[in-house]
Amino acid sequence: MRRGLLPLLASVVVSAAVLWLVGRSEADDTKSSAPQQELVLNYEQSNGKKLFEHYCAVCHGVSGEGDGFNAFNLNPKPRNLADREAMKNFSDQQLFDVISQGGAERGKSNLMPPWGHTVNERQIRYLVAYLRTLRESK
Amino acid sequence: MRRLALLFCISSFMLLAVYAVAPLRDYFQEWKRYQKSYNRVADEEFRQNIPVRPTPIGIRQIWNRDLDTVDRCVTCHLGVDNRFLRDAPHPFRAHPVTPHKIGETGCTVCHRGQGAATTVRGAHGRLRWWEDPMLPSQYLQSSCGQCHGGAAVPEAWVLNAGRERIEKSGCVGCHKIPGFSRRGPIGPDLDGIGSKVRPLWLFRWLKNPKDYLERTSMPDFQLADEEARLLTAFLLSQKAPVPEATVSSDRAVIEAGQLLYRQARCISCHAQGGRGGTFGPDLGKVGGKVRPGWLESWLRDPKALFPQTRMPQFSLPEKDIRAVAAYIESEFADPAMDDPQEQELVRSLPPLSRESLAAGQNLYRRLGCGGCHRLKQMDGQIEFGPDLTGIGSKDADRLDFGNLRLQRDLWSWLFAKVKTPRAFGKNLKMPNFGFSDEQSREIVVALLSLSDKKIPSRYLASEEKPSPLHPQGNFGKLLKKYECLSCHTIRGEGGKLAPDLSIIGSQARPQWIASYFRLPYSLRPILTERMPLLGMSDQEISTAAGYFQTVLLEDSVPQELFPQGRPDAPEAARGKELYFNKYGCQACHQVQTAGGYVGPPLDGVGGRLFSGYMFAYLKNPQKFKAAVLEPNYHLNDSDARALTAYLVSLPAAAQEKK
Repeated sequence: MRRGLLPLLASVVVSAAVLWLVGRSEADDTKSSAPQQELVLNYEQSNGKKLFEHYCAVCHGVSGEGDGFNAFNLNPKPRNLADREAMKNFSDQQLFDVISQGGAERGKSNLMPPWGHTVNERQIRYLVAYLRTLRESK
Repeated sequence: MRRLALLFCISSFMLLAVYAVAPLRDYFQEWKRYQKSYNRVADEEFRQNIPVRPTPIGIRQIWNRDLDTVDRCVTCHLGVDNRFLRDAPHPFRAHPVTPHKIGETGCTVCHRGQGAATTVRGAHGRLRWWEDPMLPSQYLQSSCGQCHGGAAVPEAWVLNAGRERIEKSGCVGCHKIPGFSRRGPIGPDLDGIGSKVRPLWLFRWLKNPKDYLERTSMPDFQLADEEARLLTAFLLSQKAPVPEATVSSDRAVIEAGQLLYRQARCISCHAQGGRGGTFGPDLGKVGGKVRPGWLESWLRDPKALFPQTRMPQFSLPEKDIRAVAAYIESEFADPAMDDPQEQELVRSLPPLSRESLAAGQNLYRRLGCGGCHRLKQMDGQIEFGPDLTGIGSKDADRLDFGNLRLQRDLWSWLFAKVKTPRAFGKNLKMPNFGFSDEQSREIVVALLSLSDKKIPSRYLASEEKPSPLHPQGNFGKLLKKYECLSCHTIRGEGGKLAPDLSIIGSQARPQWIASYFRLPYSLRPILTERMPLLGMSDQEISTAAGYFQTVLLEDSVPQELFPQGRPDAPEAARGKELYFNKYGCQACHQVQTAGGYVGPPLDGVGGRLFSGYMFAYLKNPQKFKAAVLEPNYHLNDSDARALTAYLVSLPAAAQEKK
């Protein structure tokens, strides 16, 4: 009776360990693939995305990496808005101002137009919220 | 006596206990816990110089008298209108920026749920006897549609997409849906279809339309072979007076047809195997569908065969019609259309008899084909689907979930109805439209907006519609013949594919319009849909141009800005300076092949547009084209005038001069 119980117990322990390991490695997988997953955008960001794709993507690109179809005509090139490190240097208010007043007013290129009379303040806030979600595809 | 005293003693203690429970219960209220926890957060934030004030403990509510709602949600959601709490944990997080003031409108008007409840479950959960549970966030935009009817609602893209899909899918063919009305035919007329299509095509089409045309809005009725045969035989008996014809297989004729096909830009509306316009059906396999005799008659005069078609009548001579038909039949063959199979199908069709025709008619009626198609002999015999008025307020407990095991929610039910209508049980009529999950969600959002909640009229967003203009006489005939309003809009009516023509007389010069009708070209190289070459006669061109110059005008926009039409050189030079160095127009526009191409090239724009319009447009582009990319630079008059002067002075590009 006891001899029968020992292998049973051993096999239960071993299989539990295997299951635990497999479960852990799966958990690791989901962790590492998390940044690849598409972000779920909230209301402000989704509105910003619509506006971005309409007004901004021709030059800044749909992904925001500065590779819109019109980008190659421009000198200087449109900024890569998906570069998170570089974007950390700008506060929300600074982003708001450059969208609203345009590049020339903020000491940058005049090829970036001022949008403050085309879209309203709320829409610019949406855009800023969306810019914060951009990240480089690579 | 002592027993009585004991009893009195015990009952006194019990009463004391009862008195003690009430304040204790009150002290441990769920919402008080949240408020205390909020005050801890507030203290912490306040220390970091973020203006978040602690709240006095007590029930808070938003009372909207007009809508008759009392929402106590803000008792726990204490940070809703504090933008400094955007990243705070729930339930203290700030509400996203919306066009509405939360403190005035309240919460349940958009989110639904039980506003008066002060427990988490009571407010958010699905409760028995509470008929209006909280909306899941993916359906939230349906609430915008309660007040915002009609056209596109700003910032409610899911609702807009759903409404557009309802419009496009022809739901109004069978259902009554408030806010949607039947404008024109949904599917083509079926009179004469027996002379139009080949039997095998018709049979396969009835069995599964998406097999032949992926983008079709014709749903799948999941017919059994026997039913499809019956319907095929019935429809094939509908003949039209179309002469039979055989197309030429002469290489030279086919090549001539190909040239004509390209010149007329058929591809702007008809794709070929998925590439090209989407306004008309994809013609990639049309050779296996239509009979040559019908095709020639159609090209000659589409409206003779289908009076309400959106296809323009191209003024082609007989020889060219033959050539185009020969090209279409040879180029767009369908390898799946196989003659022996067709013969076998024809043999298996029920013989034409009074019984089989009556059975076909019955089937036609039962399936509701008449909802979308017209067949003269079946006029007035339409069986409608349910009226969808107020569907968005329906109580989930009154819905029939049939065989489906779903969460008992109105939205889960609607989603299943839209996505898999036949899954509820057998013998249901609604066909399968093949909507994806996302498309189905969009439609459900639009349906949920059809609530029967009483909304005070001052909350209803009315849209300003321009008074419609229905041109009569010769120009009216031209509009119909060439179906201009399929793509262009005049005063709010027509398609959105091409520019609005409402004030074209104040915008474009008549000489340019005339030359454009003779040889249309695309102003923007990035567009795929292009103006077709219609082959208009000189008489027709002068009728159209004359109408533009007398009726389609905007009086506030003068035609010419400069005396004698010529600006002086210094002003133009200042405009050039502004163009390149101040406003950076070259980012989007080309002048002499240099510059971007988001907007149209500007060489010779003075020959195309009136200078007065250019000036007015530069001052406020969105006034003339609502969604145009051109930014409003808030130009002063002097700068706008100088820029116009520069643009007027630009010579036409080399290839345009020819």
